[in-house]
Amino acid sequence: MISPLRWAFPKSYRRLKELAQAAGIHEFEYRARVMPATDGGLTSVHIERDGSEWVRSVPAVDLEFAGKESTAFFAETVDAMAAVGHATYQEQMHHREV
Amino acid sequence: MRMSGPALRQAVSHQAIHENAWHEVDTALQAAEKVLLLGDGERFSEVAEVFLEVAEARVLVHAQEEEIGLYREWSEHLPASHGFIEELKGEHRQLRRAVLAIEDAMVDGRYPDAVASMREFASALTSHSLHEERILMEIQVEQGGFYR
Repeated sequence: MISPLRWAFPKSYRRLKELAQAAGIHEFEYRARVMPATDGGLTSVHIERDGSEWVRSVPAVDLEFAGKESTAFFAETVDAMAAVGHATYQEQMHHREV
Repeated sequence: MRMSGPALRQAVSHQAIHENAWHEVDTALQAAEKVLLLGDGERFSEVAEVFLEVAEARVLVHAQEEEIGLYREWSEHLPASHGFIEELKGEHRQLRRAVLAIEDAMVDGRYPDAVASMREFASALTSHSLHEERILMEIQVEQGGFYR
């Protein structure tokens, strides 16, 4: 069952939100979902923005407390989301100029 | 000081922003009420997330823009505005509290409570929008649309 990260792991969601806000990305600009992975103890985290998706399997216990692995994944994803957003903006400006 | 755009200063265009936001909030609320009755927890979880996305993107961001733009302008140019600015900010805080209550209820799986807080949010939004539009109209009539 896929669930929003927001309800499933609120501490992790808050960590992701803090990191995203610091990068100027609002919480409604991306979607974070979790899905129990088949191998025990791992949870698959899916973060999507503008048609791009980042996925990683993280131990559920780490997600529960917004631990090191979750935070590292969120930080990398926020960097990537910011780059996607920047590229989209540049593309829009290019089309406007053209 | 950050200046607000003309759309926020003018009563009619500001009202249009409120109406668009209300339409989206109302649509999301109706969806949540319907799915709650169906008893589908997974679907309700998604609908509640959409409600909060709408509340944050359409309402709380707008409220923040008003506080750092329009209300500061009023405070600067209209000496008598202090009282109603505080009232409007209080209404914004009520909206933010309702969002937190929805979040808490969803984390605990209290879906009926989440819907109750969504209704509270929608009700607070309606009364706040009407209050603010009345003030905007009064300022526009008294000031001719411009600060002096």
